[in-house]
Amino acid sequence: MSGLKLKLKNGNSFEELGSSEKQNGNTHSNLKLVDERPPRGREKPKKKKSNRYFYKVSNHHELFKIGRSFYSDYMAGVKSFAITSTGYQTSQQKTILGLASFFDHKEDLKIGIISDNLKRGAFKDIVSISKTIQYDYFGPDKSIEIKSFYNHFEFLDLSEILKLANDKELGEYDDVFDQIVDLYDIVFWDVPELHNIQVDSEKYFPVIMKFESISIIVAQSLTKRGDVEDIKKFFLGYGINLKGLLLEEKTSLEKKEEAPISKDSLTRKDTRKKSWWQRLFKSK
Amino acid sequence: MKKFNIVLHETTIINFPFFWKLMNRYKFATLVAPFLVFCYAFYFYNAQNTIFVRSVNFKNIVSEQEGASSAIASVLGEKSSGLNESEVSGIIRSLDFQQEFSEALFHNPEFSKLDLSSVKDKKPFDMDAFLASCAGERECIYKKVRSALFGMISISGDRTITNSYILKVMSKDKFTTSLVLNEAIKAIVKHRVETIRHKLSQQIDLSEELVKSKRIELTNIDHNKLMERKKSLENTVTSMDLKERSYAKFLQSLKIKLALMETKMKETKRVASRSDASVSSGTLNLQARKRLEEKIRKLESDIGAIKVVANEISNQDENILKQLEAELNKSQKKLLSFGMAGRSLASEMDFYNRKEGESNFTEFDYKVAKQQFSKTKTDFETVLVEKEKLLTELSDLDIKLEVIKPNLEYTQLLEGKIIQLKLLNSTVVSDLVFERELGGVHTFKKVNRSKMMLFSFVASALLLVLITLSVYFFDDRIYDQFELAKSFEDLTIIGNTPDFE
Repeated sequence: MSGLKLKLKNGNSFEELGSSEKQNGNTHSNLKLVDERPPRGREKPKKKKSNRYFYKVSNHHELFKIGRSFYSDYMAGVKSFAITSTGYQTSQQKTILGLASFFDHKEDLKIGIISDNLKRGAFKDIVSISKTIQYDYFGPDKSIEIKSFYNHFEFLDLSEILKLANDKELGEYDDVFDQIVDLYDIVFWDVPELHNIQVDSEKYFPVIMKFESISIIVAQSLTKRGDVEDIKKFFLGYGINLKGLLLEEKTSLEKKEEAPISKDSLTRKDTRKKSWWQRLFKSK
Repeated sequence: MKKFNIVLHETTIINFPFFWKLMNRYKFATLVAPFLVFCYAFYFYNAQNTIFVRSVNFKNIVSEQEGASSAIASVLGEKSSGLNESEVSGIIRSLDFQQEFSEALFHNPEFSKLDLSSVKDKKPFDMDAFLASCAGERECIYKKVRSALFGMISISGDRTITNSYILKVMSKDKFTTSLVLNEAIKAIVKHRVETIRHKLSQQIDLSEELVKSKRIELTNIDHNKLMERKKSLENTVTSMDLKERSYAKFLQSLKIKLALMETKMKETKRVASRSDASVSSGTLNLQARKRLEEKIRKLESDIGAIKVVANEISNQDENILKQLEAELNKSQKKLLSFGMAGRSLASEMDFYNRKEGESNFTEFDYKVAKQQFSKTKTDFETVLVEKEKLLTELSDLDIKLEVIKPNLEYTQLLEGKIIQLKLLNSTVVSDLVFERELGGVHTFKKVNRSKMMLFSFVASALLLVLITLSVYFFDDRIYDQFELAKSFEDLTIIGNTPDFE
């Protein structure tokens, strides 16, 4: 997943493993090497973009700590980071935004954030002021919307990507995800709730396969061990590297509770509160 | 298991900082547990009956006997002192005492006012209801009263004073406490007196039985007869001693006399045999001398007789006197002419003759004396043999009496003991002496405040620990980074999620 990136002249791109390429000497004439990366590490950061917006982080030290951890992974060649939790979507989004900001601040990278909750939670405000770009790589009638936040991050709706991937006419099931991931230097996945994935695992399988590293957010005083164990077992079952655990402190949760709760979030919360058999029954 | 590991600590067993954290986490549970315990304790304390207690001290006055015999008796297990603590405490557990006391209390005019319910019983006591099931049957009533009463009374040792005890009565009612205490004192004293008297009577009976049996034994042996016989023998032996001494003395004198006579006889015989030769030559001289001497003596007497009557001497008489004097002179001259030879021979002859005459008597006497000596000796020996027999008999008798002696002494001691016991029996008093002044009536609760507080604290602490740990074990949520790290030791804790203002 972390091999050389080759891009077609007409804009199409695919990924090949560096090792297999070297063995086969597969250098097609219509391919142009657009990103020659060293076998280990990455090139020096480019000139930073100017920032018109900034987030004020209350626990900057913690952000720096986790950002450095992710950055070291990035420097080791990991570019697709998934963030999941036991139903705390807002925490996932805030964490992704924090990490994206850290990377944006650290290097001039093309950062992609893929979520199925762009119009809710922490992404809602940012997405609302982001510029919409139509990405028609798979055809003019098969375009998807990319929300670019002042060229700092780009938001992609996972539902649209899944829809595109499942488009029978297109027939590019896995390639859609490959193409999307290849668009960015670093991708953050706002992972849907586990039971949603479990209910429709065939649909989400190519998404999961794009995860190079997954981190689980544990909400203080709310998350149960059993739920974390379920997530852990699930993703380890797919061979995903489990990076570690992120703790969502109670203070931040309380703040969230103080904020007005939308109808959707209420529904989510109700769902979260329900036991596994209730959720399973409902899903059926 | 992971949770257990979190709670436990390798040094302090319980991870106290974490436990404190748990208490903070489950504040409600930790506050509710002590609150509930204290509420229950408060309710329980107030719901308890007020118990009225009154006590009196009493002393066991039978002191320890001192001395070697009592010490030996103690070593051998014989009881030398009065009642010990367990026996004193056991008085009120005696069924006989309980029965007597119940009867006495039942016949007390104030009996109907008593509250015989248990101190734990919450309901008010009704005597009629209490005795209703007995339907007036005395034995049943006594039994019921007995079972109710003896939960109230207790005897315990006074730890500060030797041989001192405390009689305590507890009940739900002040009047009942006082009355039962007073009656209990009387009953205990009476019980002790009766017990001691009974004991003494039994001892007297037993001693008398023993004396009787011993007496029969002594009668069969006929001890008195033996004693009389001994006395008689001793007297006989004494008289025999006197007789023996007398015989011995007499025999000794006889022996000496016999020896003398024997010597005398021998010498007489020897003299007699020697005189036969010399007597024949000197006999004539001796006879002449004797005649002269006789003549002179007669002449001198005649002269003397004439001179006595001299004042009227006649011439004739004077002539006769002169003739007599001449004759006397002549005879004296003649006698002088014999010299000493005639005289010695005369005396010798006289001696021989006398001895010759005596020799027959001496031998006779000797023979008589010898026979007497022999007879006396035989008698003496007979006396000695008789005495020996008596002494042997006396010795046998002494042995017999010596064998009988312990029995006799034992019997005598028993008789003395019987007299002593009878004396004691007639003057018996209780060995337990109660103080005249009774203590005041105190009130208390079965479980006092201090105990209740202590119980509450301990129970609260235990319940708190139990509840906290239970909640913790059933609570699957993750509360902090420490727990997170402990729960997922195989995963890295990256840090906290960022929080935006």
